[in-house]
Amino acid sequence: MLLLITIITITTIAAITAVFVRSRHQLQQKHLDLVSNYQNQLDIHNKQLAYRQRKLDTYHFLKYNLDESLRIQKEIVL
Amino acid sequence: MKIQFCCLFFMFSFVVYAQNQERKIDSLLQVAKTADDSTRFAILNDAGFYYIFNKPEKAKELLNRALTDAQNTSDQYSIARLTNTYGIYYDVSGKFDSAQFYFRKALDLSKTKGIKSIEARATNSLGMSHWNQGKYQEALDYFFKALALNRENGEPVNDAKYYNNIGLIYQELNLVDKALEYHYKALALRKQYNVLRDIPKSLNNIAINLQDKGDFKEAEKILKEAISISENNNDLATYFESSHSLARLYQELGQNEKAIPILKKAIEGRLSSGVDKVGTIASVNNLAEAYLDTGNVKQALTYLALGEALLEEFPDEKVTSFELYYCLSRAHFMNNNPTLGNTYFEKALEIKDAVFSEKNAATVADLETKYNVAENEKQLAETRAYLAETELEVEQRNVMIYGGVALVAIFALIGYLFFSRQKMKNRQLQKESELREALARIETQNRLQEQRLRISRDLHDNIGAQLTFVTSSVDNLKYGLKDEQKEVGEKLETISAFTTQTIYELRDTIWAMNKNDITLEDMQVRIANFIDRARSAASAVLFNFEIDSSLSINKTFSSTEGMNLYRIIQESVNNALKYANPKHIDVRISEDKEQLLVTISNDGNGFDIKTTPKGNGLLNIEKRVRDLGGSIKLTSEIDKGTTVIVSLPKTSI
Repeated sequence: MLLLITIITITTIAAITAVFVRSRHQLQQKHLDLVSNYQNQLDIHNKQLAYRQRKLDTYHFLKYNLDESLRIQKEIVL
Repeated sequence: MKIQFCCLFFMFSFVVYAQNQERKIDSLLQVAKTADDSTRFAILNDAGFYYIFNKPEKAKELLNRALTDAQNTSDQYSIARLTNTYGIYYDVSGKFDSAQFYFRKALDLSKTKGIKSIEARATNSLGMSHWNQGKYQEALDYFFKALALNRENGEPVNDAKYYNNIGLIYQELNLVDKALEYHYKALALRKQYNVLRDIPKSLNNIAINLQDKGDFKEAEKILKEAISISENNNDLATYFESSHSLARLYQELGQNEKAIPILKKAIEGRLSSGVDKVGTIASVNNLAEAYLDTGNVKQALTYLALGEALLEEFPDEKVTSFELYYCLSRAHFMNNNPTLGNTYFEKALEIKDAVFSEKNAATVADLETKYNVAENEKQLAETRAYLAETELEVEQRNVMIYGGVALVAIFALIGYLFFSRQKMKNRQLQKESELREALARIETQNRLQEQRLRISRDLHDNIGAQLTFVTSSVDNLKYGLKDEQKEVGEKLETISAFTTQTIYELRDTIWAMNKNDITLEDMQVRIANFIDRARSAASAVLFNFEIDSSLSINKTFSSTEGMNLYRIIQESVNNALKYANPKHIDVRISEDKEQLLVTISNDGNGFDIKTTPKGNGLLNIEKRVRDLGGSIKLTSEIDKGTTVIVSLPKTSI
């Protein structure tokens, strides 16, 4: 009887653990995909902002070269 | 007529048979007189055994004489065998103590002398004696011992006798199936060794048990077979016994018409042959019962009278006598003779009291034995049951504990896994939330920047272009005017300069709008540029601009702060140039512990702060200071100059 209980317990524990490990793996994968997607979007936004800012920074008080800094630039497609 | 003829024929046959038996015994006894000792004792033993059931007194006398002779010759085998048979005589007579004394004597002698066959017989006799006393358990033990002894002696054919006796005891104990098992074993052995004389006995016993089981058809068939075999063997005793059994079977089935002729035949046969004469009383009794059941009282009374006469010959047959008297009582009552009926009924009661008190004692002893055995068995069973229950309880408890522990472990594991999963999910959600927020922020920032750029482009492309157009138009207009219209030309030049200035300011505003922050270095360049332009416009005025060395050039302002600060300095310098006619204008940026200080001072005309109303320029300065969360201090003295000190808290910058 003890052997039977032990076998049932171990089997149940193994089955539960397997289910949880699988579920955890799926969850982690989903999360990583989402994070990767967000980071990708953030990178694109940052690139866009940096790109525009770099242009704006070319403006100089003494030169008043606003034409140059406000020139329409290529937009990054998000 | 036929029946009567048949009866006469059978009577004649039985008489002949009985006479034959008697004649055989007598001739054997004659032979014994001249035979050697061992043969003589064997003949005397068999004759004695025969007379025990027919002429008990003759049996006693014969056996006693033979035993004395055997003792004189010191023939141990014969002594042991005759002693055992002598014990049987007492056992059949109901003198059980004497019987057991002789059986034990025979047993001890056979043991001492190593005569296994007599040892087995004596043990069997002891079993029979105990059986007659109703001590079935002891009887059973003796029979099993006898069986074992017989096997040691190597006479398998005799096993049948002990099987038969064991079966009879089981029969007494109402263990029909066990009884049948042993009777069938006995029958098989008897058939194997072709012991024709004993086969009908086994069949008879089997039939009685089958009758008890309710298998009447099979019982009838077997009894008929027993009758047939015993008839062929000329074994009258078994023949009568089997016939009696068949008649009883018919009586039980209510078929008295079949039972009556069989019983009559058995009675007449026994009487005429003298074989198993004592058994005649039971048959007479059964026949009388059958006649009474069919209402033939007269016939019943005739046979009962015969039974009464036989009882005188066998006074020890008390149980049978009780049944006979009871039947007589019933017959007399049915014959409308209550006086005799009562008399016999009282006789029956008298015997019943006597017999049944003895029988009761035996029964009580038997019951006690059975009770004790049953009690012990019960106790044993209870102990076993208790042990089994305890074991089961312990096992159940263990199962509960192990099961509980297993469940707790499983639930703990599930809990831990859920907790761990939730924790991970929370971490993931937090990170995702942070990323979403960052994304939302950066998206807003991106959109804001895009929007600002669009507005800036609109301002620059539309308003800026239009102001440029205004400037060039005013300049063209001024060149077209004649010298007499000098005053108008000056006005137009002022408008042109103002418009150009507006264009620069618009550009500054657009720049500031798109710039996140402005460093002190940017500010310094910007203010220096403004002062240079002012210096070129008013060459008589000495300008001084300085930033305290303690201030870091990397210090940053927001674009709004930077623009407000620049506009405050610009407005103050412009006001000084416009209204104060100063020789010196100083601009200084410094700091103390808590504040950033911007000081613009001139040594011009000055004015009375109390009486002079504030113009748009000063009001604008005050508004910008308020927007920056700072304070403004204005001091002016006529002919000495004016000082504006703007204090901005460091925390707001």
